[in-house]
Amino acid sequence: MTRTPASATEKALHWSVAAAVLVLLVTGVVMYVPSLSQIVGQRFWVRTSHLVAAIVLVAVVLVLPALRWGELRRLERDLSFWDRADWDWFRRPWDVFLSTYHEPAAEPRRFNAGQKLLAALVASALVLLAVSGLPMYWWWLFAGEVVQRARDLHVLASFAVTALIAGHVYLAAFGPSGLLGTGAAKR
Amino acid sequence: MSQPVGRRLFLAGLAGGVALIALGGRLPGALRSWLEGPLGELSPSDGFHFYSVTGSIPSWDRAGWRLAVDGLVDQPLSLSLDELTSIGLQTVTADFHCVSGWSVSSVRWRGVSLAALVDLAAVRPAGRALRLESGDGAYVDYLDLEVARKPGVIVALGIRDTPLSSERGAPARLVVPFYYGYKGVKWLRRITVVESAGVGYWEARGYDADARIRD
Repeated sequence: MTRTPASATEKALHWSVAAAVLVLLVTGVVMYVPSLSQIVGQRFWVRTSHLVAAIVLVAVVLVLPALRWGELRRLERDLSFWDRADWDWFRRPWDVFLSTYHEPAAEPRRFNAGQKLLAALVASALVLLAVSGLPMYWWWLFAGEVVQRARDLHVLASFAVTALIAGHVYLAAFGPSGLLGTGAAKR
Repeated sequence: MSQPVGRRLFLAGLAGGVALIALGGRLPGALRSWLEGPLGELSPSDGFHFYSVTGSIPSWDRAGWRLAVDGLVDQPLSLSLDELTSIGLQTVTADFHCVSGWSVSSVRWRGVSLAALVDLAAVRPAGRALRLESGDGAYVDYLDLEVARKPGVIVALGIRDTPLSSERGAPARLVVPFYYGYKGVKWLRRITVVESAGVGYWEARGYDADARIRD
């Protein structure tokens, strides 16, 4: 099956989001896990790095579509719209981890249902993380209860997005179609 | 026929998250324990996360440690741990809240009333605020004297019937139960009575001057 290659704009969006999320993940873990907080210290700089990465992420997601609206709108449609084949994919979603996995050949498509699901959930979680981060950073503008609830959501969403991205990175590296995969789809 | 399922999932995720904040109570206790306990801490913990603005914890030894109380006072003090303890210990139980949203319920602190401590130093009439400095001098914060004299504001030496650990600010730290935790200067070394409150470490980096936990 021949896939439509990612455009330069799509690659720019993907890798700038990936870089920002990596910084957010690392700084978030350092702030969250006490043993790491103790090793690293420097609370102000870790916190500031977290905020800057978040601002970069939001800026990229806002600016790139503004500059390349048509191109990224097609990407959004490719990721958003599901048909019968996508629902069929969920009969055996674990197949994607097997070296014998191959995409349905009937109708070449850019993304399988798993990738579409991942995109929707990661996008949702990232928006929630951005929104819930506001009361955590500008705490004096919010009631204490709101700050606490925002943090609960922030922690839950960050666990979710970490698990989703870990699966994505694993399949991108070691899956049948991944960079280091040796499965049928790659051959 | 294809449908925009991805968009619906995206919006459903947002709605679920907003509902978690806007509706209902806090997270169920079991889930909170899981988040803050085994998974959240990844190391033995008493529920507190660890914050430091430097890369190390100030070292100290019991024999050489002194707490200085100076500035606009008639009787400057330099107290050993035993001398500080002899002023009289009181217990303060309060929830601990961090500005980043985590909390520890009903923390039992044991320490010396800050009001008693500054009274011992005999504050001059011009003294209106306290400058509090951590052991390494890297963290400085201020407290209006009026606030410092309120009940429950203590220089804590112990927590939950044990001496403070290094991570919690040993040998002495400030506890202001009605303020967010960043006002509780850890590894406290020096209290200076000054004319007016200056700008503390976090206020200089963007925090609001009012550390009250809002209702």
